[in-house]
Amino acid sequence: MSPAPGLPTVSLPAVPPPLAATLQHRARVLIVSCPSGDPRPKPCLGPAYLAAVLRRAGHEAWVLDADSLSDTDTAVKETVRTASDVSPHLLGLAVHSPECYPGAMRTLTALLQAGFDGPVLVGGHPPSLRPAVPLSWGATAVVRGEGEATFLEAVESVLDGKLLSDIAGLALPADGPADGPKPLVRFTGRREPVNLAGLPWPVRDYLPTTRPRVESVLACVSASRGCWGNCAFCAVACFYRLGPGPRWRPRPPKDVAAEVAWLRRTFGTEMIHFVDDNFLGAGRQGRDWAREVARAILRYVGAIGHGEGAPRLKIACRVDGVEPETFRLLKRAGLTTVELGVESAYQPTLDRFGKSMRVEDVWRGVRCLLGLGLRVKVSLIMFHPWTTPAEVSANLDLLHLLRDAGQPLGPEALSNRLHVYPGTPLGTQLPPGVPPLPPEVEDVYREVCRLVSPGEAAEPDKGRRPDWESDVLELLGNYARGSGRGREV
Amino acid sequence: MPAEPSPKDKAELEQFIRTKLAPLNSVAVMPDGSVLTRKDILIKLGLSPDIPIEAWLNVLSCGNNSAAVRAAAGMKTR
Repeated sequence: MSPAPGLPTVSLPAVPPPLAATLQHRARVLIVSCPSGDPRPKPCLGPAYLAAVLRRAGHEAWVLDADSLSDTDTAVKETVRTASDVSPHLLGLAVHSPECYPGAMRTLTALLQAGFDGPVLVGGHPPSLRPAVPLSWGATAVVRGEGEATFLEAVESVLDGKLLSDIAGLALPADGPADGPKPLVRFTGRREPVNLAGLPWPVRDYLPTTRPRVESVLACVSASRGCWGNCAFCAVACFYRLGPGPRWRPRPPKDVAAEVAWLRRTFGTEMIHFVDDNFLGAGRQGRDWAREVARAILRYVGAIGHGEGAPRLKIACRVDGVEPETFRLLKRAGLTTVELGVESAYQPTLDRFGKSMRVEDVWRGVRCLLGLGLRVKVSLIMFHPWTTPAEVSANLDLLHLLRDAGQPLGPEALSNRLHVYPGTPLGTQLPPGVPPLPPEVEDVYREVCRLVSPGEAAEPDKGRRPDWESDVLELLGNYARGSGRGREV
Repeated sequence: MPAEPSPKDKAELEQFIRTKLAPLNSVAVMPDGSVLTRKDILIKLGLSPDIPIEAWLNVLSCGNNSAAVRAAAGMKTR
């Protein structure tokens, strides 16, 4: 098959079954973090965990952070080139958000056109919830839910020439006539959740790409997985429901703290970004765990010696779990920034989004963090089909509280619009994608976006006015005071 | 003044590091049967094998080793 225009011609080896005899029972695997188009992508830890598990089992695993490349064209070309050089027996594509889909599809198509005929496994939240999508592009299988055990089993099955269809956790195209309607998905869930205490730390030697150096040195760490909430727009709970076990599972506090101390000692990491879905977990269990993490960080960072100091910490959590004692301790351990998934300061919208919290919880949590002197980054979904002036007015009260406390607001607070993801509770009520807004809300949204992101996609904040946040607040204020009608809930 | 590091904490930390760090790819057996080292693979990828592993983290978001990328790569940067 001739390669696609603009792509390098490569000759990739077929996977000889069985491989064990010639390859000393070591698989070589390339895992690619697919491009999302985000101008400031964070590394996805999923591929790094898969690589660590494979390496510990004696296999060769390489991670290519294609999401960090400048654009999808470059990412696709680099992936094909790297696949040619590494010659993997099996290739994994990590799709961490729906925005990765176009890049993932182009990457897979380019690999197939370039002659790669080994198995290609796709994983991540979106494909887990809709495995038929990547299967329709030609993916061999989809790793649904947490991937470590499933992916390792798949790699070793390929190595042994066994069938992938016997592996729990993999979704495969259903059998059927070659020219008939395809594909219904075959899937058997795994019986045991991934044992987080037994996992190695994620690898940190991603294949180099061309992201330029910046001053801030940041590393991502996952201290827990999942969330107990049932927010209607969120895919996290749906993802973890694909597997057995509780929907929020923490790592042992000392394990987390040791990784933090090791990152600090080895790389001089200045900031640790905990990428947990909800750092606080549920109730007292979650609070006790967070306190143990803080105490262990204080001990282990202290153990790496004088002069190193503690890295700054950043977490994300639900606002209703915030209370002063835990956060005072976390602050002592280095916490500087808390991202709160508030979504709304308006009770009807909290109810509609299934947040299971009261507006009072929002105010109490935000005030608590501000009182402790922490940086608070609030995320609001201000624009959705049911937005009203009353809701915007309630959100503005919260935004003014933050602004008066000297907190930058940012796009997450001012210009988020509802996206409906398949597999979520909202996805059963609305078609996937971006639902339409009432016309007057759409006008406000467009004007807000013009103020928040005046630049091109690669540099969305280029050209922002110096006091752009005031402009946005004034615009929202005009709408809330009745310049727009909106629809009442 | 920070407290003197506790020997117990130091020992626990080293134990975690020993058991939790995944090994680097040391040797690759290629499909033609040839054996390549990690250094060979990096050279094949057009990268400098002499860059210390620490450099791979010292960029935003801990992912990439821009210092090791060959100048002639011609790839666009952000």
